[in-house]
Amino acid sequence: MSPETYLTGAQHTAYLQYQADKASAWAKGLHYWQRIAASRITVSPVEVPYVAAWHDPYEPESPMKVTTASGRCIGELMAGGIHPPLEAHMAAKILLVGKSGKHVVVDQIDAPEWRRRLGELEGEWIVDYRRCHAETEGPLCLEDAIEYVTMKDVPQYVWGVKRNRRHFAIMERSRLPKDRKLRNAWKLEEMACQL
Amino acid sequence: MSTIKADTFVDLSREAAATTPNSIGTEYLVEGTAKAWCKFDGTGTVAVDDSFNVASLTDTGTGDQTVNFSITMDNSQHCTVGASSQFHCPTRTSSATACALQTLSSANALIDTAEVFSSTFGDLA
Repeated sequence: MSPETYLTGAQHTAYLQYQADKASAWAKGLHYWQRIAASRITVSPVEVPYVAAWHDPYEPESPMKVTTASGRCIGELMAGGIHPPLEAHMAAKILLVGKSGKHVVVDQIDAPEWRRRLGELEGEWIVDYRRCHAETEGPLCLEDAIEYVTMKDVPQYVWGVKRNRRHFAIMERSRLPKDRKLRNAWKLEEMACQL
Repeated sequence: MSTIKADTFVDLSREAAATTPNSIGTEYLVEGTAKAWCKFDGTGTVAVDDSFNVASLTDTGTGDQTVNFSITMDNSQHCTVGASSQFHCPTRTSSATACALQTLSSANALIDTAEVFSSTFGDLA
């Protein structure tokens, strides 16, 4: 199945331009993946002392989730010139096609919410990723790099929406209990006074 | 950095033997290369030991982890292979941006384990 089936007008034009730009970036050795590959021999991984702990508001019964950044990725962000700006990730366009046939083109940052709304998916396709190939982010400090990865990989409806109960916190790795049973019983709201 | 431009690689030692394939197009090297891989410790507070094209790892519960890619895949139809040093490690779900893996004991119960490996093949965005 081709994503072109679902794209019309400006979306289709942008998709064709994205495909052309991707091929051009690859030929020039500037594709985002090529930048990461090239950095492997020049950039060392970094120890990551912080994690993001969060509850999914749509899964109130599930245990607290913990997102930990890859030391390699943090090293690349701190080196600069490899990863695109966070806004480029957020603005990348993704086509989500539900089993029911419903489909929608959304910003990547909104995709987790739309995946939930559409239910079981037939498939999903990136239909515009031009900025990620064309732009790069300068060197970041450790804290900014961790924030970058967290905002990219934790759904926006967790960190971007103010709620009555605490759902999200970036904390020192050492503060989390290593024992799974103990951690599953934790609620961020109850931890707030300790943070 | 130097660049080699070529369409095909040929195995010279088998060039004369027409009965067996002895060449491969360079596109197969790109298509067949893992686009992301990761080794992580799923016990305690999960930690990525080493990775390539992996931005982060989310521990969503016992024996259930999500690998988040740095550069997304072109679509959700990629192939992610999971393995662990002790247990069965199937892929739970795949999206263009991430892949969820589970580690299951011989009794098919979710369980944390110290060494989990994943590699992803497919088209890049």
